[in-house]
Amino acid sequence: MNQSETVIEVRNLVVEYGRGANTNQAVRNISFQIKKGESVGFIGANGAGKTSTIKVIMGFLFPAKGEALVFGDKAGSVQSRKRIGYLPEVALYYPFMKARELLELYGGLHGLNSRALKEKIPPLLDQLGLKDKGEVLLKNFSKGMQQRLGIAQAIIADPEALVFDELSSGLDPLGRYELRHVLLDLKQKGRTIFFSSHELTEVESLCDRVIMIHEGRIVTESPVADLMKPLNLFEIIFSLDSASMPPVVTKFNPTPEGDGYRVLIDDIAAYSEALSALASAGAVIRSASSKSRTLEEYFIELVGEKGEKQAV
Amino acid sequence: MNAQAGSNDLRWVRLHFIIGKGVFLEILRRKDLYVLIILSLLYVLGILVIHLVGIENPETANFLQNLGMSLAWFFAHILMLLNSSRQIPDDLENHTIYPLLAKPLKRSHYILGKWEAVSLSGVLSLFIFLFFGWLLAPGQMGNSSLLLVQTLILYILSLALFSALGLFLSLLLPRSVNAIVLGLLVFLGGNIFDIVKIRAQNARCGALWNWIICYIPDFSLFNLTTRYTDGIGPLSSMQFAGLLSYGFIMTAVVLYLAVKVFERRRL
Repeated sequence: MNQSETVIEVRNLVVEYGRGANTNQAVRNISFQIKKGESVGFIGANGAGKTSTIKVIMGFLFPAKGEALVFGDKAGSVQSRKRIGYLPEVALYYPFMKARELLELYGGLHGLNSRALKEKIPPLLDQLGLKDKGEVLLKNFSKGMQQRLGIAQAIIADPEALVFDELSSGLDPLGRYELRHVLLDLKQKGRTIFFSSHELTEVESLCDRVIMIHEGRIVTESPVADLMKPLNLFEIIFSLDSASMPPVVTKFNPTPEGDGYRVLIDDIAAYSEALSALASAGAVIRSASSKSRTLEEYFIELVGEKGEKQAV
Repeated sequence: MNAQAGSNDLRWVRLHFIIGKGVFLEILRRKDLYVLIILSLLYVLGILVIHLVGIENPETANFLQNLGMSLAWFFAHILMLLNSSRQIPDDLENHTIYPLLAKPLKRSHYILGKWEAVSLSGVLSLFIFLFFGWLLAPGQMGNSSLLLVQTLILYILSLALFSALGLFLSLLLPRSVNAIVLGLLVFLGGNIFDIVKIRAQNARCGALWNWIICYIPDFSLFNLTTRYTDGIGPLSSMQFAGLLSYGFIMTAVVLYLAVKVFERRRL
């Protein structure tokens, strides 16, 4: 398999629920590709169409139009699922089973023999913070522990690609931290990762690329670095008599902040000029920093714009 | 090529075994089986008391044997009803169906694996219940051994058809409705069919009713308990072969329908 091999390909996908007059389009003609070794985040609000798209990729839903291919095979085919690991959005695993038995079940279905399972399960449980929990019945597992186990079942057979629906759902901060390390490790091993998440900071730290979806349509698809580049903002917090405020600062509309003012500037030259002018005017500069907008802020801004355009 | 085909065949056997193992764990770790075993033990206790008092006539012995075998039939089918009707709905409700079907497993193999395991668990529980209900009951020396074998084979066939029907209907009906329909079919089916047939003779669309009934499994045909305990002779080869064919064909058709419905289902 070469580096540019397409792992997941979605072409003109339309997913509909309901029939006749009650038909609701959850996904509206979207197309994208995930290449081998990429780590791609799939971002969108609730009901945006993330889970529907992922379900088509896994063969759980059938598209109304378009298609999805996994490793060149039709999505949902046995051949495609041999090379993919999947974590569902929410799953309450069999309460009557022990963690070890559950992993034996899923690993066995993925083709691992009993010897391989015996070797793989203890370190995997350990890696996901479930050490010594192998013989515990799942009815005694918390939601976070169930999610960790879900991740374990997805990666037990060491698949080439991983599809996670709502990756860190139910995990506490420690769980998220540990999970991030597991995923970074998988990423370093060259695994392809495609996941949806509400945790945009997580997406920022793990992804090479993000696909943003809103109301069934892709609103942006770009490398994370490109998305963050034009978002740089510079913040100055200062104290100064309002009458002495230099014009190069007032044009950026300073807002009161404690005893002084706060100004946000989106251009590095203007930022430098403003700092000099403030110093000359005798201002006390309390802080001056480069402030990047988070992916979350960018997403809200983008989705807000789309919403306004649609409303118009 | 042949070696690869052979290994693929074996792989499906293994997949069915893995799915089945999950079903067995569930049955062993839930209370249903043990509740029914305790109820069987109550029957055994009654039998032991009667043994102590002494059985005065053969009719009483027949009755007790019939009761024991009927209880075994009843309990095994109750267990099957509970197991077959909850397998798929539980997986759908708890979303455990997703990680299962995300593995290299065809939907047909999921259904067949569940069916095999539920059926096998039903057969094993049947023999546990029969141990209490038949073996410990006062026996009749004159009863036909051939008929006993025929009875047991038809019991097993009935369980296989019943579990297939339970899985199939669980794809179409809400859980409680499925349980009621299955219960009516297996425990009152024969009586209901007789009533419908009698009414159909005088009804305008009687032929239609008779036609519909032909396609609904009649589990009373598989229950030869009374025939056995009353000492009536075995079924002729033709009769037995006919019943076997009926059971096999019905089971195959119901399983085929279950697989087709499930394959088209959006999850």
